[in-house]
Amino acid sequence: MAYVIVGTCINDAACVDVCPVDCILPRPNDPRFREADMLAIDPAACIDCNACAEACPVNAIYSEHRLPQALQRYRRINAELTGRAVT
Amino acid sequence: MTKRTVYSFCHYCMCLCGTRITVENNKVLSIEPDRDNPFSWRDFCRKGKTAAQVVDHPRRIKTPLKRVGERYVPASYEEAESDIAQRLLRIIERHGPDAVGSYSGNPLGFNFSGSIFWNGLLDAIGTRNRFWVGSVDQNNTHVVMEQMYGTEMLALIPDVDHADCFVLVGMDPAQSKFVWVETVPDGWNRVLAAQRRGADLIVVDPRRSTTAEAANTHVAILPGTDWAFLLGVLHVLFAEKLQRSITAVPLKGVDEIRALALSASLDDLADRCGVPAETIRDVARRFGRAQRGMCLTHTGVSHTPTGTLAEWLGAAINAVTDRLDRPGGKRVERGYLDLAQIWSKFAPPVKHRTRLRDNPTIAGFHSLAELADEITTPGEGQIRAMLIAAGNPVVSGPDGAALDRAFAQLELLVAIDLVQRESHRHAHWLIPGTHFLEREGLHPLFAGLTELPFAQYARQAVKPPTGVKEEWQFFMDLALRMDRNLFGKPGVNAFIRASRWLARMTGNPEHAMNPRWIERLLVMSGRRLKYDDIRKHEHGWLYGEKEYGHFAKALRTPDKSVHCAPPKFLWALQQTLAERSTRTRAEYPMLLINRRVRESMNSWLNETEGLFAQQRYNVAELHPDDAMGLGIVDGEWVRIHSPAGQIELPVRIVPGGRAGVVTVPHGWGSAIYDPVNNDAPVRLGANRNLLIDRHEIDPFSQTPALNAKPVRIERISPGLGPRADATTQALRVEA
Repeated sequence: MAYVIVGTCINDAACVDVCPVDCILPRPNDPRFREADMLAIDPAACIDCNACAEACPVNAIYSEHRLPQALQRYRRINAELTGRAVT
Repeated sequence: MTKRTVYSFCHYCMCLCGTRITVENNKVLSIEPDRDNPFSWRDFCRKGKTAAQVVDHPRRIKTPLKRVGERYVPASYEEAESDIAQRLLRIIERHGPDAVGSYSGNPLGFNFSGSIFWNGLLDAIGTRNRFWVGSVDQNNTHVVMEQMYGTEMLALIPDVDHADCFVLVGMDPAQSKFVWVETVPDGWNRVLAAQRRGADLIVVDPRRSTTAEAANTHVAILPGTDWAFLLGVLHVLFAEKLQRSITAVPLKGVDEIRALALSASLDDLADRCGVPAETIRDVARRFGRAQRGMCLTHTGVSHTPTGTLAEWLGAAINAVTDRLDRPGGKRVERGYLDLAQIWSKFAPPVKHRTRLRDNPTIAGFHSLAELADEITTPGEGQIRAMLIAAGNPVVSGPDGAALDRAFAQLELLVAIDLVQRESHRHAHWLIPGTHFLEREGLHPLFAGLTELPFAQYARQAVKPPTGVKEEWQFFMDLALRMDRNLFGKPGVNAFIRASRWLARMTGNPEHAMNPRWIERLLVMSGRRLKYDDIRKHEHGWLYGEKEYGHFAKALRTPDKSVHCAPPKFLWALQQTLAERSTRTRAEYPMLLINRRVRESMNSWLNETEGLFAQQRYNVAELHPDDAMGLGIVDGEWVRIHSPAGQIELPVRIVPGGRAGVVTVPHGWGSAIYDPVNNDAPVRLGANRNLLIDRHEIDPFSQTPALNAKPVRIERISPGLGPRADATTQALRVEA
């Protein structure tokens, strides 16, 4: 289980501030942060606490279980962007 | 020095998340969830992650501090203990031991050694004027347990994985996790998983909480009327014969509660709680027809004047629908020792009653709502000295302004804590406290409160600041200094001194009396586990399987049955039904309620930098209709009035939920003083409990009405719109 960031992400890192396990990448102090099209959640590290989804100002974060069908591809994208095998 | 990893668990809330702590040179580098903990880690949150920031608090008290005029000067423990002992003895001699009052906060409850020796010190003093934080939180559940199950200490564990229907009243587990007195790790996500498998989730809450958003049905009830809703559910269950006649545990009083529930009119109850009768009927049917289920009532319910009646009715619903000791209902975890039995041995045979309002202790302590008057009202038994351990009652309790004035007139106020908080403003002595990262030990009293048979010995991650004593040491040394026997038992002090002599002679500090001895004895008393085996499991020990069938044996009612209709509850419910009043009135047309925030733990962590990176204050959540009616825009500052006081804070407009309700979380607005450098106090957010009347309490639980408080909201500067949050910026903690 994990949360998933979708393409409407605006990279404001509001989610990064509230994540208890630092599983949202790249982090603002990472040089890749500036170039990133979107942030992504490491599905192996996420603990499903919902804090990021509450913090996101543009509702770009979903619980995997509530991810709309049209956005399912972001499961794979989040895994790839965080260097995890796709499950 | 090299890095090392310490496995322990977080002690902020009952989730007890396993932690993996990386330490170097007595400094915590990181705290992460311990994914190898077999019981709990999935509720890990930023409180646990940032715990080291509390250890390294820039205003931490690191040595006893003595008040001299308006300043504090460092002193030795020797000097502190000697002065405090002399002053306490003088007060006891003149006015008796009850002139020394005490208050302990939530963190002391998580500190087993501290709380045992705290009680030892209070027994040494001989005072019965003991107050604690449970009286603004969970007291109603203790009262209901006592009346229905025969003991104040028999928490029932929700069996969430097997439930087909959840009725959650006054709780927001998406924020606060699935904890009450007991704990179900990852409980909220497990409820959501059950829901995906087809379980029905019904949430009763005036607010559209995160939990309510996930519900199949959200019942936006009128605050303070949970009892009417739950009685309506009982009415329908009985009227439609949805109760069960064969139950896993024997029941008594079903006829009485049935008669009362059926005598009430569903339309009348619906009108009282602001929920259509059809909705109540629908909820009752769904719950009654579900094969397995549970009705849970938490803080939102307990913080009302009828919180005990509602807690009872919720428990009665579970009893008559056979949810007790059944899969998917509520069960007893027997743990590795018998908490109820130990409690019955240690609790005084007769409950002490307060001097002014004649209220009995609950779970051994009096209600915080009574403390201010017990200090300020002259007469025999008046409290003249206070010991406060890990507590901030001026912020946690009702009408803190009155309690602050009361504390100002004390002859002696001693605070034991990590930092000097609002409640310690008038302290004559500040004594350093310790953080859980600095302590080790087993908390045997958690044994029956964890969902599964689980035990974990907490490991020390870092040492306390040089010279700082753990709480238990200070309490023991103070009793020795007063030459009054710890625990009030003859010979204890002589025994402690002898053990210390032996430790010196043998060079083995373990031979000196210490809390590990008590932990070991308690584990032995349960005859199920060995203390040393518990210590060997560094990630914690899941030592058995979940079992059912222990409830009937654990009952301590004389007839070994669950009492569904305790006479005093029946009587009070009849009285409540006979009355008809609305809480709001023209001058105070809205109802104030409370809420939980995942990152907040009552009154003691909110100033931690890493917890609220984006917003370091609390806000008043308003329904859009109310905001429009008052002409308030999002972000605008408002003043909230009640007869007890007023506060100012910004508004957030939140759609959903019930109009006429304003939500403000508690725990904010506490001053954090700087007794060493005398810098200006830090104060973040507003203390909404200043709006609460200390005299309006639930007659059974003695819990003040922190919820359903009638208030009025007014704009501070009409037409100016949102105002910059200058206050919080100006008050940042200077590291």
